[in-house]
Amino acid sequence: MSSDNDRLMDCFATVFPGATREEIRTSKFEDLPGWDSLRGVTLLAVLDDEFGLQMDVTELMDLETFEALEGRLGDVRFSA
Amino acid sequence: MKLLEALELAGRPLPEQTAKTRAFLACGFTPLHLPTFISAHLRKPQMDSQVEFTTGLYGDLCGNIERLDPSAFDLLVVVVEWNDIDPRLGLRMLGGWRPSETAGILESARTAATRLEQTLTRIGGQIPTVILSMPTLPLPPMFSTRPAQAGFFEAELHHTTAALASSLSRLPGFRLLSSQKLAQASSPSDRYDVKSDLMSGFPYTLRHASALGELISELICNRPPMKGLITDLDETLWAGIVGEDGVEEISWNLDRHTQMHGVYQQFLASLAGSGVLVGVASKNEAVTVARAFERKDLLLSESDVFPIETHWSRKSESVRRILDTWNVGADSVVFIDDSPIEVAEVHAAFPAMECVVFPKGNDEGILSLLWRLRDLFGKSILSEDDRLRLNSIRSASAWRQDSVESGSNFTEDELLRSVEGSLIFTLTREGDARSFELVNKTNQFNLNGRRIGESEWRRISDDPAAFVLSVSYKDKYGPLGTIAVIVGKKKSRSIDVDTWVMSCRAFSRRIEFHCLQYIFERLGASEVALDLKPTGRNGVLVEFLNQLTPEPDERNPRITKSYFLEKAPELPHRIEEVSVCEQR
Repeated sequence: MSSDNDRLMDCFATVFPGATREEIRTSKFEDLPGWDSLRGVTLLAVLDDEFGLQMDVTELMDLETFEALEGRLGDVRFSA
Repeated sequence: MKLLEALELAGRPLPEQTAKTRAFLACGFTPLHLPTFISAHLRKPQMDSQVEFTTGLYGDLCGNIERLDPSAFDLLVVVVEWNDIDPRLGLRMLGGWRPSETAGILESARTAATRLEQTLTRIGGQIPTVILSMPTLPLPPMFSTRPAQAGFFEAELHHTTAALASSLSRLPGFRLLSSQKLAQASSPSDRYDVKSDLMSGFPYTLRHASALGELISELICNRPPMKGLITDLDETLWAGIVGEDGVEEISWNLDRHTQMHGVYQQFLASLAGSGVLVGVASKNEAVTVARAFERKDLLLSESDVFPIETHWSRKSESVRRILDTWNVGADSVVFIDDSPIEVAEVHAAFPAMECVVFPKGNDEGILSLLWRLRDLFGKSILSEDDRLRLNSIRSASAWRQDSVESGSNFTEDELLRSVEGSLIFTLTREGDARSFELVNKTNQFNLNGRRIGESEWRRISDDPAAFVLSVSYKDKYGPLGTIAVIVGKKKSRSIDVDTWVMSCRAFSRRIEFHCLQYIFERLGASEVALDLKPTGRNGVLVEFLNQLTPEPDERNPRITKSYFLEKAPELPHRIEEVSVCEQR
């Protein structure tokens, strides 16, 4: 796992302290323990702050899973 | 602080015994990350406190404050932005910016400011502490002038909020966030996040939210100020070496490019005026220094400073003597000297002391030092006792000297009678700021070492049986100000005392006996139960109480009136005034 992906996992683990790393890796965002719109907005702010990754809630929900978000982060890094 | 770090810190568990402050965060925007940043900054090691925030409805700042139940909160944090003054001053409300509409916006802003002032004035009397932040975001581009020009309406809007802030800042318990300090931490052009505002209603960039949260946390924490400052003279209080250059050649003026020494002098005079103890430790001849202090243009007068230690021994010796005279701990004192060697020597002797090299010749460095000192010594309010403190120390010192000198000629009773002491007892249901300060800084004559938080202090009167007894003292040497505080509860013929402190300046005058006599006689008690806990530093109080109980009990001594009257010595002081509040 790359350091970016480790950091991404840390972000999720901090925003969703009630979710295990396994749950984060395998669940859809909306099924994560503690998921609500406030946590969603907080996650978006953290992603922007940590990675410069700017998305809105719809884009995030379209990605559905942590794995897809990892891919999106990789694309952004690749094109930068 | 980044948001991720703030989330981690704010979510970190605290020890169970950590007191939790119940706070209401009143704002018109979506609070989102602001409580997280405030909580995170409060978790820093020097603060380490916990606040539980409740928030209100979006877009209704004043209504949120009007609806809240004051008894449910210890703290109110009010964060005002322009769209709370009028929604058209934000971007989420499209109400029109035609020039013809600006007069209406201004009128509405004045009405909103008046409503907010009335609401906060009312609620401020019912909640112990109110933190207030006035608009931090820029006004939108709604005026007909170029941005470089502030027109009448813009100036009037600023005037309206400034007048509101000025009025509220004078109310007890209110702490106004400094816009100047915020500007140093958060550039005004980097505060507004338009996308976040439109998407979620949270208008701040994360950087600004962190800076604002940090300052709010500082105002919440309100750490106690340092007590004393010890300064060097040559190349510090003034430029030059008085013993070599002569009294007339030392300087602090523009012509000699030594102005910042004058600024330092007037800063120290300001500290002295606000109750900070200022002492001098200088390697010099005493007579030369005395002549230097006679210069009329010196901005720090000799009466502002006590004691002045001038000799050729080690600086740490001077510092030790000054600490003894003040009777304060090294950790509440700052030492300033231009010599790094002297600073190192004092720091080695007093590791807990803040020891600072005076940056002579570096004007920017001196200004930075003054800001740092203001942060260390700043206090929310000044009391009458702050003004008296230095004279009180001088009086206590003169008393000690006279006691020693006359010790062989007078009995203790005669000596105490000769000082013509008088005590003023003030019995209230809620103590004042000075009593609160004394309770939280006294270590030696302290019943149990318990510190009382602001909220707890202000809520003492919630218990109908509770009282706060504060005691002031003066004698022929001058006033000592408020020197003792007792907090207790009256239970029929018994008094439970859970807080009792007395300033060390008032020792050896039998004031502690007078306090008990007052409780027995004026409060009609036949027994006093004390919540004593030996702290390792309160031996003087433990010893005092042991002589008043037939079988000393170091946990919960009970003193009966009959035993007290049997054991109490002659009580020499006059009770000049007794202010009694009615017990519910």
